[in-house]
Amino acid sequence: MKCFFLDMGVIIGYASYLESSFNIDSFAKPVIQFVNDYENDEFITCHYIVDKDIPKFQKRRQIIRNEIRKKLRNPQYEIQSEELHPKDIEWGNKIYELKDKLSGGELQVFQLLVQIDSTFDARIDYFLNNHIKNVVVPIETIDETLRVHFQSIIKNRSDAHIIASAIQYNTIKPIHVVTTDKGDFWKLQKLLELDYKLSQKYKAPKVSFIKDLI
Amino acid sequence: MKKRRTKEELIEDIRHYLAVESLSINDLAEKLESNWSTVRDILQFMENLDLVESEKGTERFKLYKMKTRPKKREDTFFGVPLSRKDEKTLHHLFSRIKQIFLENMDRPPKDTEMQKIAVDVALECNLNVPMGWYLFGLITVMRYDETRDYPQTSIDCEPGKLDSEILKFIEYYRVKYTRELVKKQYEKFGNKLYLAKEELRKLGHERLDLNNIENKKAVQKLLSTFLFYLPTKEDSKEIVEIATNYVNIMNKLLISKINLNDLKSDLVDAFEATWRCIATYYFFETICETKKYDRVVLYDNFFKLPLEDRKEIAIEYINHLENLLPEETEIPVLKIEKVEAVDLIKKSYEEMAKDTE
Repeated sequence: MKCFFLDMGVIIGYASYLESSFNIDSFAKPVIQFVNDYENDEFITCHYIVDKDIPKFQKRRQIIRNEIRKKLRNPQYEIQSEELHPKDIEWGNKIYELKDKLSGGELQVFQLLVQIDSTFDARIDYFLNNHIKNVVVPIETIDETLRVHFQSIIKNRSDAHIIASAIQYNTIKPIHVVTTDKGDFWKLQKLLELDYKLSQKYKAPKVSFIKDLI
Repeated sequence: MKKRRTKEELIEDIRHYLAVESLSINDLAEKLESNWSTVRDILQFMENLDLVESEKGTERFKLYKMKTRPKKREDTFFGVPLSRKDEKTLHHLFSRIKQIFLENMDRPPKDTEMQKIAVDVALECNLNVPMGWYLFGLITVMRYDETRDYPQTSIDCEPGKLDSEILKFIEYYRVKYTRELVKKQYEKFGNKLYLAKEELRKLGHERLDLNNIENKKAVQKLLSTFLFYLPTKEDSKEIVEIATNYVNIMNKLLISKINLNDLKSDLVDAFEATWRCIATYYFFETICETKKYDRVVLYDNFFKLPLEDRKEIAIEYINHLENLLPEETEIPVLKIEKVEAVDLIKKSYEEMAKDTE
C-alpha cells in the first residue's frame, strides 16, 4: 500500500467537482479519477494545509464573493480588498460580468456563487473526513531551518511550510507527494541538496504531477 | 438552548448600581449575585467601551463609576434622543392616528399597525421625523404605548391632509394578520432583504418538510437572496460576516443527510439571533440616513453596546448550529444545469488554489 501525501490543489480539485454533462473539467476530473484509481492506498496531508491554507482559501472565497456582491448591487463599486490577490480581483470582475449572460441577472450570479461555494465547503469536509487517513506534522513541529531553506528559494511561505512538512514526514514513513502544480520547485531532492547539512538529515520524497499517475 | 442572562442585561444592572455609587468588583458581584470573574470581565468590557472608569489601584479593591453619558430616553428605541420638535410631531401623529383608528375600527391600533401607519403618513406629509428599519420593518424611533394619551399640538402639516392620509393608510394596512401587515410594508418599499427575511422566518413552520429536496433548494435560494440584499457599506463588514457564517452553516446542514425537521427550533433560534443583530445595525444605519443624528455620537452612546451584545449572542447560536453538523458519509454533489457561467467560476477556483501565498 502506497502512502500519498496530497497537496492543497488535490483537495481543492476534489472539492470543486460539479456534476454536469457539459463541463469538460480539466481541474477536478483528474483528481476524482486519481482518488478512485488509488482508493486502496493511503492518502495523507499536512496540518499546514488543513489548518492554515484551506481556511485561508475559504476566507478568500468569502471575501471575493462579498466584493462581487457589492459590485452586483452597485456597478460603480470597485472590487478591492487588502486580503485579496490581484488575480482574485480580476476573477471577481469576470464573474461580475456574468450578470449579462444569465437570465436571472445579478441575483442569479450571486446565488450560483453561494451554491457552488456551499457544495465546495461540504466536499472539503467530506474529503478530509472520509479520504484522508492521517493529517501529519503539526505546524509547531515544522523544522524551521528546513522551512526557511525552501522559502528562500521558492519565495512562497505557504509552499515552503508544505514542502518542509512532506520532507519531514518522509523520514518517518516513505511518502509519495501528489500535486496539481507542475512548478519546478517540486524537484525537491535537487533543492534540498543545496544545503549540505539538510541533505544529510533529510531525503526528499518522490513527487508526481497528478495527471502522470492516472 | 437554555435561556441565559445576557451580557446586555448584566450591563444594564451594573449601570443602574454605578449610577448611584462607586463600587468594587466584589460589591457588584454580591449585588448581582454573579461570580467575581464575570463581573470583572463585564467591567473591563464596559471600560473598553468608555462607559465606566476606575480609580487606580489593585483589581480587587479599586472602585468603578459610570462616565457621564447623554441621557437615554425611555420612550424611544435604544433610548435615542429626539429634538423637542420631533417629539411634539410624533406625539401629535400618534394621537391623531389613535383617535381616527378608534373611530373607524372600534379599537385602538396595535403597536405594529401604529408604526406602519405613522411612517407612511409622516412620509406622505413630509413630517421629517426620525425613522429607521428595525426587526419588523420601518418604524419611527419613538415607541408606541397603547395606554398613553399623546398630546396634540400644531405641526407642519395641514390638519385635513394629515387626517385624510391617516384614513388612507388605516385602510391600506387593514389586513387580518400581523405578518401580512409587515409584508405589505416591505413590498410597498421594495425592501427585498426584509421580504427574504420574512420568508426565512417560515423555517419553523410545522407543516414545512425540511427534508424534502425541493424545499431544501428553495431555502438555499432564499438564504443566498437574503445574503445578497444585506447592507454593503464598509462598516457593515462584521454583520455581513456573521450572516455569511450563518448561511454557510445552514447550507452545509441542507446539503447533509441530517433530519432537519428535528432541528427546526435550533434553526429558527439561530436565524432570529442573527436577524436581531442585522436589524439592530440596519436600524442604526437607516436612522443615520435621516441626517438627524451625529453618526459617531449615536453609535458610541446608543448602539455600540447592544450591537456588541447581539453579535456575541448570534455567534453563540451559530456555533451551536455548527456543532449539529454531522460527519458526512455520502459525497455531496452539486448537479448543475447547463450554465456556461459555472465554468468560469470553477476556473477561478483552480487559479486561486495555485496562488496560495
